[in-house]
Amino acid sequence: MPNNDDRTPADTLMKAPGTSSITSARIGDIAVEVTRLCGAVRGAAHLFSFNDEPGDFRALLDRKSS
Amino acid sequence: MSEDCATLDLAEAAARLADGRLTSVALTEACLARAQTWQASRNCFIRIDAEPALAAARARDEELKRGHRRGPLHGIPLAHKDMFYREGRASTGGSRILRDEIAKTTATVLRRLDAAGAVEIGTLNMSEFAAGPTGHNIHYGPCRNAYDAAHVSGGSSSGSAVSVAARAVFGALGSDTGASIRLPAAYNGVVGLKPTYGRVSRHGAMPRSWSLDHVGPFARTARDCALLLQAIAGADPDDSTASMRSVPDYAAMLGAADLSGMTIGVAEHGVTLDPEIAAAMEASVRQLEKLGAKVRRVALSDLSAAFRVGETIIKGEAAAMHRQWLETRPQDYSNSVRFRIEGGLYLPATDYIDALRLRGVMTAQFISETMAGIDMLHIPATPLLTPTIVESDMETKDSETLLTLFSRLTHFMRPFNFFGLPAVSVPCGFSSAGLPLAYQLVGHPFSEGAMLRAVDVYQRATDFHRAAPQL
Repeated sequence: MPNNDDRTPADTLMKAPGTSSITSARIGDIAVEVTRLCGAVRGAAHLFSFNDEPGDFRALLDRKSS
Repeated sequence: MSEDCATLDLAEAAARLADGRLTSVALTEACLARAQTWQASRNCFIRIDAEPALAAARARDEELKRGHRRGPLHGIPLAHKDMFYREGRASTGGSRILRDEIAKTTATVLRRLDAAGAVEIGTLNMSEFAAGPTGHNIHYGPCRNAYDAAHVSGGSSSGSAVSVAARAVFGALGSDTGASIRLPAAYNGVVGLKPTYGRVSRHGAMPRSWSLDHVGPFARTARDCALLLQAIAGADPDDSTASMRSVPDYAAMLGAADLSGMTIGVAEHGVTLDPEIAAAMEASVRQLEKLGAKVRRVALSDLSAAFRVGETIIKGEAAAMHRQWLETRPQDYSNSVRFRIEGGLYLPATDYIDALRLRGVMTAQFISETMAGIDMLHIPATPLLTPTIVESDMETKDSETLLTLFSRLTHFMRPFNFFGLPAVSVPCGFSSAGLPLAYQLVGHPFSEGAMLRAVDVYQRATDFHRAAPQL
């Protein structure tokens, strides 16, 4: 992994590990994709409350088993 | 002409092994012969291990001679997607990156099949890193549809479906993160079961997305699937997500005369189906009704939210597990796999975590609304006919257009990975081009037995699963 010490915060965001082969042309498509995915999550955010947590899912499967 | 014993169902082969009419060596030789023959045109194997398989078969036959039969899988030739680790052996995961990576552990499911006496004849082709619904693979070549080599096999468990359809093995394991068991099963006319999340251990299975990965069996019949599931299901101290629930005797749940007492909800999904698929869906519903099931039309809520929220989880997890290699070895990925993963590098952690929080809430809502009052849901496997290999190749075609196509292909499947509900793909006909068609049944959590019982009754009244592809 490259040394991150001399990066600005913006560099860190745009040059995070794994992104070095991503072209500027591609970044536009990725932005659209990320916006779409985050939009789906945020659009459904009204469904959960403060106390809902990721681990609830597995307990639900056991509780709802036939 | 003498019968080719590789064409028997697994259960029948097991019965003949048990009473001495067949040997494991004979079955293994027959499967190896078919594997070699079909490999040339379908490329369903990554490796064929003839000598180790025959040695294992001889050992199983010796045990039988001594009166020791481990169970119904004793001496039965199988093969699995090349992503289940076996200590001392490389599991490629369909990738270039893992080509020479020697496993330090053996997958729980392989250990359980070994203990059950199964014989492994090789490992099976798959989409690179289990990403991709078509079966394309630039590193090992595409796996081709068992019924027409110009068409895709489906993926990512491409070789699992094709080898079972080709009667090169009696059953196979695959993994399903967003359709990867059920879609290739549908495209190749075999039964593919994605169990409930946690029913089968994922330990030693190459991950695609820890939260959405499911391991499950392919076979030609529901009964054969039941025998395979029986061997692999259950708690596992090596996988904290494996359920502690006891495993029922699945085979004992089969054999019902009809479907009386069972209510099947037929999804009113509002998605335009290919007319040939629509006709096959209606015919399958009529058949289930004729067999005694009470059929009820169920308004299906829009699945696209579950699809997208699930996609957020897949991308976030895949990006986390691949980002070191994306940095150091980007050239070793196909475009199609890199494109699928890269978006995850930019997802805010908060959205990923909220996607996980939504999973329980949205699953509860789906069960209480859509699944209320029904035992299982009938829904198409896919709305579109099987694409050709050329028209769906992301290395040569516009990637955004194809990603949209792939989303449509998996529209009816991927949400059930997010919900974690069991789902099975069931052969129910053929298109005018001679390619298999299938429906899905989706069940309540841990209701695999009831689902396999329904498929078993359906298969005893129909013969779509008896059709075999020809070279």
